[in-house]
Formats: sequence, C-alpha cells, structure tokens
Amino acid sequence: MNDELLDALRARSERGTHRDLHTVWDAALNDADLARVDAVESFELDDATASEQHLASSSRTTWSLAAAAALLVFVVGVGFAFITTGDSDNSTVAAGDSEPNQALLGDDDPGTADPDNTTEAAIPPFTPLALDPEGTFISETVVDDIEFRIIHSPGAADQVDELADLPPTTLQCAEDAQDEQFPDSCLAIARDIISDDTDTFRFGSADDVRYVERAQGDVVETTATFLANDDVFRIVGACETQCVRDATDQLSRSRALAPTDAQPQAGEGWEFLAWAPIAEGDAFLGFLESQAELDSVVEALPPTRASPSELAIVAQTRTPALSVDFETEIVIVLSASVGSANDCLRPLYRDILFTDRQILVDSFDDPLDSSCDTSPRPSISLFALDRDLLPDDDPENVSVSLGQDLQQYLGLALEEATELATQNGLTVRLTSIDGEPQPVTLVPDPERLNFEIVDGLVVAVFQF
Amino acid sequence: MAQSIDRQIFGDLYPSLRRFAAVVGDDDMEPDDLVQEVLASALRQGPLAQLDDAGAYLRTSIIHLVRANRRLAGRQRSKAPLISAALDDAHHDADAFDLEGLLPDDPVDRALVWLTAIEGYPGAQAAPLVGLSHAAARKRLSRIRSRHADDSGDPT
Repeated sequence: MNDELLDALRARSERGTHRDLHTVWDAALNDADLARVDAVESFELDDATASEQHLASSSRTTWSLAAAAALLVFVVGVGFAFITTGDSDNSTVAAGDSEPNQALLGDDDPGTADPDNTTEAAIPPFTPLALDPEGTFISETVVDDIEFRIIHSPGAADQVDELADLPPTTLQCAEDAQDEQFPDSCLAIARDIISDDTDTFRFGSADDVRYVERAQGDVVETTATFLANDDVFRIVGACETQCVRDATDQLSRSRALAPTDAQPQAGEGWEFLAWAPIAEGDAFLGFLESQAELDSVVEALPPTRASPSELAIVAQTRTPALSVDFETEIVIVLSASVGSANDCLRPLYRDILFTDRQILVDSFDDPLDSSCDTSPRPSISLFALDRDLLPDDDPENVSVSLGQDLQQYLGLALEEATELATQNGLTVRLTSIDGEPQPVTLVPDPERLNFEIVDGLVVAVFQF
Repeated sequence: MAQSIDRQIFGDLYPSLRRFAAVVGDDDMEPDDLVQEVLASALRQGPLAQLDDAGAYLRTSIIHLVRANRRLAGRQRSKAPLISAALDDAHHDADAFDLEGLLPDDPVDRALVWLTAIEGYPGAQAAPLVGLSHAAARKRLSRIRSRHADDSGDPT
C-alpha cells in the first residue's frame, strides 16, 4: 500500500479534540439513560402496548429478533418502509453470515440471552443500527422526534377493516403543524417507533391511524393512514392504496427486500434499485458513475409538479440513500414518457439482458396489482449493473435498448430479422451499416426496431 | 456489575475505536462524538458484554453513522428539479468530500485500508466490518492500491 496514503491515515487517526475514555463513557452512558427517560416521559402507552414492549425488551436477543422479523414482514408487503441498502455484498452481510455483523442482526443463540434481564426495564429502542451496512436505521431515531405527516382525506370510509387488531401507540399531533404543501395534513410526532412495518397510532381520542411507513432516519415524511371512524386518513384514493404500497415496495431498494412476483429484482449482472413516477413527457436514459451522481438523481426525483397526490407522496417516501458499490457497479437510469399519469403506479421494465454490444431491457408486462390499469405510467427506473458485464468499459460506447424479446433478432440476417419484425408488427430501420452510422430521425417510435448490421447480420437492436 | 464489565470492555476498545472513527469520519465529525454516539446506541440495546464482538459491532456502527451523517448532509443540499442539474450538483458535491486530496473519499475505503494496512486485519475479517464480501473488499483494496500507485508512480 502506498506509504503516503498510510501516513495520511495515521495522521488522520489523531485528528479531532481529544477527550479521555472516562468522559466519553460517562457521556454515552448519560445519553443512553436520558433516552430512556425521554421515552418514558413522552408517551402514554396503553397497558397492552407497554406490556408488549416491556416484554420485547427483556433481552437484546428478543428485541433484535423481533426487529429482524418486523423487517421481514415489512419487506414482504404491507409497509411503506423505505429500507436503503447497499450493494450485493451488503445483502450478503445482512444475511448474517459474518460473525462481527451478527451483532447487528441479533444473536440467534438463546444461550447468550441476558441472564439477569438487566435490560428488562428499558424502553425498547428503535433499532439504532442498520440491519444492513448501508444504514437502514439511524441511531438518532432513538432520541430524536420522528415526524409523520398524516394526510387527511375526509369522506371515504372504506378499507378500514384491514386495520384489524394492531396495537395502538400514542401519536402526538402538533396542532399548529399545518403545511403549505399538504394543507390537509398535520405533522405528528412520535418517539417510540419500533421497528415494525405497521403500527396503529392513537390519534386524538377516538381515531385509530395506521401508518404503513417505516420511520427512516430522523424524519419520515409520509404515511398511509386510516381512521376507524367516518374520516379516513389515507394518501390516495380508489386503487391507489395497494398500488402505492406496491410501488413503494418497488421503490424501497429491492436489494434488501424480497422480490415481488411482478417485478424481478435482480438478474444476471443487474439489480433493480428504485422506481419512481415521473411526469409525462420526461425522458432520460444514461449512466451514473458515482454515488454522488446517484444521490443527486434520487434527490431530484420528487416530481415537484405533482399535486398532493400519490405522486408526491411516493417520491417523498423514498429516502435518498440508495448506495451502490461504484467500484464494481454502474447505475443505469431509464425513464419512459409513455403512459398516463392517472394510471396506477407500475414500472415499465422487468428484465435486463447483456449482449456483446448492448444491454437489452425487456418491457414490463404485468400490472402490479389486479385493480390497476394495465397501461404503464411514465416512470423512471434505476438499475445497478455489474461493470464486469458491461459490453464495454466505457459507458459512452454502450447502447441501451428498451423493448421485448429483442435478443431474438441478434445474429439474424437482415432479411430474416426484418421478416421477424414484420411478423411482430414492428417496422425496421438501419441505424448503422458496417460501422457507418446512418441518418435517422430522432423522433421516437415504440413500434420501430433499429438495427445495426455488420456483414449483413444484425449485431445490435433497440426499440424506439 | 454488568456496567463495570462494559466499562472495562470499552476501555480496552476505546483507543482503537477513536482512531478508527477519526479515520473513517469526515472532517466535520468529531471522532469522540462518533464513538460516544455508537456506544450510547449499543448500550441502549443492552450490555456490551452480550455482543459477540463488541469491537466489530462498534466499528461497523461507526461506519453506519458516518454514512448516515453524510446522507443527512446530502438531504440538506438543495434539490435540483431536473436530473441534469442534479448531475451537475453531484460533480460539485463530490469534490466537497475529497479529503486532503489523498485519502479515499468513501468511508468504507478508508476503513478498509486502515483495518488491513494499519491494524493488520486479514481481509476476510475486515470485509464484514465494512459491509462487504471478502471478494468485494479485495477488489476495492486492489483498486485503491492501483489508484495510488498511478498517482505516485509507484508500481506497487
């Protein structure tokens, strides 16, 4: 290793204001104890919930397992949790195959449970550490307020049944916390959010509000909510509940989540990162080569043009924390401008194939939810691709194709490929002949295939 | 009793944890603050003595905390309405994290180098501490080595 680098690291290791061991220990101990006091004083847990939480805190093992189980439940479906994660390596670690990180995931060995129940009196904390190395939870959530935005949509009283028997937890709603962007919302504060995917909050005196958003970091912007009375708090209407839920699941950094049936989460050399609706007319396709670029794109995704609807809400539930190992991966951004903004949320893409010249992206066939329209909505998708599988190290030289079953055209003679395309109801044009680019219009046409041919054989094909 | 054991555990770990936090953390993050915060988080969950490897746990926690702090800082950046503008911002922001022009920007990279080259961890043990597989850690270290070899003209 470079000596200069090591010297720089050694010098860096001594930086900062030095406190002594005892000061740090006492401060940490104080922080930990204060957090408990804060939690006790700040909430009026009903007996059942308090009892459950008390029990849950009887040992680190119990709590950690509960947290892991809650995460799993969340992953499967109900929550709007947004768990950011890392690269594929991270998912390996999250699976608990490494001893040091076993501590983060909880100890599965009952023999190591706290024999004296020394933690029994503690309020169960929000999991302070990430369950995956990219940082799912942030430690400040234990001691800081977590904000929930409750969108109030009076008038619709359906879908309350599914609230079922969720344990209530007190949620305090600041009376003056109205917001210009969400005039019918109120800003709610909670401090004892446990790592569960769903909770019911006691909101006011008689209203049960269920949130289906996991607290993330120090601020959670949005929740899907319901009330057990005539007013229903929810973020969208009609079919959107399930759609938004599914879409958010898609958005929730699939690497840490269980794949859904509808959208494959990964394939040979690629992984689905995120999806978000965009306004009709936007189109973008390109590569992101650094975490900073990815962060900024994700930051930019919220469609500011959207009204207070699921568009804005879904975007805001996405935490800008997608993390990719850009040493080994690169991110492709695909957006599509077709579809209707009034349709249910669904991504457009489902599969990626690598060829020696191109990355082929299959179109997405099935709606996420049976109640949703089958037509796609304008959307943007982010995928991580393994750099080693890129046709060319330089992304500038790699073309990306959108379409369905395009691989079947590769290697065919031009005549055969044209005939096949015609049978599939598509037109054909040549964009390159033996390496010579051909003049073509840039007007997109989803019914058209673009062929590149060498020696009369199709070597590349893309749609639009 | 449990607390005194924890204190002893932490006392043994503190010097190396502080150095690790100093290396991994950004300039605006005080090393002792990072150590204190992860220690407090760990204590909230129970005694350190219960952990399989308190040192590993706390090191990993420090990395998470640094990344979390970075993300929080990132959120505060102004949101560009257009992706193209966002990318412009990204290039600008990337420069902001270019510590001293020599150290790897990524805290994971810094942690990897520190653990393997300074603290003498085998790659297989260092990798999970930073949330990577052994293969990925090897690849990263290789890239760091080659990058610095290029910079310095050193073929090693």
